[in-house]
Amino acid sequence: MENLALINLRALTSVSTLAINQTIEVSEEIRHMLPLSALRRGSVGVINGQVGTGVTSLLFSILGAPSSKDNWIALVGMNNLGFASAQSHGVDLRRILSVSCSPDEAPYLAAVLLDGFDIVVISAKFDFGVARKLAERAKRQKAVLLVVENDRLKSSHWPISSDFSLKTQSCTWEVDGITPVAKRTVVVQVDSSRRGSVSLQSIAGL
Amino acid sequence: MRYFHHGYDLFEDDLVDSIPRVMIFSCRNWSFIARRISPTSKSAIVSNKRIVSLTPAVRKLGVSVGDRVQSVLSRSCDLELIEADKEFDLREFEKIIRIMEEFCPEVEIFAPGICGFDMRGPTKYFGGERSLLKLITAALCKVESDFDLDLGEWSSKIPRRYFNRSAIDQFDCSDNETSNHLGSWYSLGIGQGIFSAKLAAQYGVVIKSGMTKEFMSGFPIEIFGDGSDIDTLRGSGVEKVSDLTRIPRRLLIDRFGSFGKKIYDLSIGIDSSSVTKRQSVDFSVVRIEFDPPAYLAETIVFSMRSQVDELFCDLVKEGLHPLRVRVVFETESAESISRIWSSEVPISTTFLLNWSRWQLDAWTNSATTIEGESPSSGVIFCDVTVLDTTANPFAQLDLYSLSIYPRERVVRSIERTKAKLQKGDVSVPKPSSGRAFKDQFQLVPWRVGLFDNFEKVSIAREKDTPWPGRLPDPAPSIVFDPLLSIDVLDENGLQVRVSGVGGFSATPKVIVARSVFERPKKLKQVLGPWQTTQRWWDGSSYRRLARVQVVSEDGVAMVVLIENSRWFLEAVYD
Repeated sequence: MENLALINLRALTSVSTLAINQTIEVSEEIRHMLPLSALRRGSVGVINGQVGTGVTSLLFSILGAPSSKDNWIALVGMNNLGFASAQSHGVDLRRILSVSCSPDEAPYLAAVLLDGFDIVVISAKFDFGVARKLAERAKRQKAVLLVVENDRLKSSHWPISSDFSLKTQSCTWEVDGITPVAKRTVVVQVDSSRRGSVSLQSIAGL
Repeated sequence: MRYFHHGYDLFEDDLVDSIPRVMIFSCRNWSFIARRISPTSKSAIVSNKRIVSLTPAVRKLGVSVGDRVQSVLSRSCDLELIEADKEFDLREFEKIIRIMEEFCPEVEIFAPGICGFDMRGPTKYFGGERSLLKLITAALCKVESDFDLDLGEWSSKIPRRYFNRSAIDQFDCSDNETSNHLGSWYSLGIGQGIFSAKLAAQYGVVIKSGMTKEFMSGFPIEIFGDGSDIDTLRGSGVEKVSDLTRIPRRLLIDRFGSFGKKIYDLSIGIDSSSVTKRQSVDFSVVRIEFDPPAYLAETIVFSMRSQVDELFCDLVKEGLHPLRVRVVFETESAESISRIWSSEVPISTTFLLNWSRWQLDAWTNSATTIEGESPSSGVIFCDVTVLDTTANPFAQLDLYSLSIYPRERVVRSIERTKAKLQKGDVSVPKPSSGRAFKDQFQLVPWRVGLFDNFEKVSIAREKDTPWPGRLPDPAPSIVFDPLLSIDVLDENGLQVRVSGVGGFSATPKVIVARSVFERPKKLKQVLGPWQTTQRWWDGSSYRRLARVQVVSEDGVAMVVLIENSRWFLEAVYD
């Protein structure tokens, strides 16, 4: 047993980076939606869906576990967020920075923030070149870039490929008569471009 | 019995012996004791909407630490939830600290409920460890009457003992009424170095002198934390501390760097962190003068380097490392800017110079400055004062710190963003209170140290007291500020009104919010209206409005409000 430990350790000393350092863990309920079951550092994710279908709650639940595990999160160009809801999704607000700016300026600020923050959430206007540079920067700085596409904002579509894409389709509310807590089930279209597969999954209690 | 160990050098025993014995007082349920809550009452401490601490009575309900408040509330409704308040806990803990200070003047506080001191002096003075422990238990007995409560069984199950009886001192103080055993409201532990002493305090035992390694050997390696390095170790078959000590020290250092060194040393009983009360420095200030006055940040920072270096070197020679430094710049026309920079790890010259550059940038760049005007003339001098130091260069604040602080590269990227930003804000959400959703959190401009004060600000108000007229949870995830003007129509397409007694003129059927939804939304469910009169005592901010919660046919839940016969969209449960 003692020798085995030694041999294994020796084998590990030659490895420069470990896979475990390259991902950020997420909470149980959304783990199965992401490639590698976690947010891979250096990757780009796209979240979209119409207002009211649970996009923001989905975003909060993605950010919940990382924020409570020492990851710093910047929100760029995200307006009108309900932070009380973020808190109830387990987001540690002490690790959140919110930057309000014009949609044209946002990508440039996000580029700077990618240097320091672990996760940068952005809602902005992109053209092809800007998007490619942002993705490269995220990769180089080992940060995660989450793009929130906004239906109402023109050219907020992420023009290049992403590592995963989540789209909320619809949600249903269920109000229990006894408890004052309303429960919701959100249907999410999961699209992993690496695997080229599309599937529908639902999260209860989001 | 001691072993010569191939993993360390020949002087291991000397090293172990030179580590001072430390006594730790530990009270795991301090938040409850401080609030005089007995273990039988159903209460839990909540922070960030998660349970952080609970009484045995609550644990019996199947609740555990880390659960979300929402899910716990749906399970039982007579729970008493208390917002975590570290300041209150610390204030109450002062009583214990005062008792400890009777035995040793330098008491270090690790967290509310845990404190300790170096035993070298007190042991000699009070005639040995045993008599010291007896005296302390006797003194703590007196406090019990002060905390007038039923100090029943706090821990129902005895935690698993990973250590051998031979490693601990059989210490009996049963002649006192509350002996130092498990189930009592506190426990005392003695060990060599803080780490082992803290472990000992969890079990309320005294580790024999020089037996730290034997004591630690049975513990799982998770006692060193739960990072990815620990996962790696476990994955390669290292499960117990004893397995770890069998691995050559060099190999561990090669693979894990300082972390490997730290855990190896801790597992054989070498603890580099000893109890150190932060020492205040009487006189450690340096003034850098600029003649002629300097106008460029680069020049100023460059000239500061050598003198700041010298100041820090002088401190290090005395065995001190700076933790908080004040930098003041003053111009010819007597304008000045002062900033205090603090860090959880010792500040290096490079760090301080970087910070000073930001300070100057923020000052001179009027677009980003938040306080006052930019300077009108050159800088003539700069004062650097060291305010706080630590004697421990490896200050393990990841284990013991009470506050969080952003990493350096985070701060740097925030500062650069601020400089780049043309129009807009860099802000952080701060909890506030109010009936309207937009009042519950405020965005306040970011500045260095803000994360630090965060908790203090958030507890400024009693949060658990009911706020009549506030909508119940869940909270909406989109809150419009300012409100969006919309139309709420009945089935005939006419605007719905709410009467003075709180009734609809007709049932709302359609909602038209062009800026959010392309098409009008048909409504399925309508809850309300709930009327509120806000600030009726104040003529200027007096508001009278009614809120309605609606769910559309396609499942979009919203909160709309009517004020002065006009409808607004306040929030969406997105």
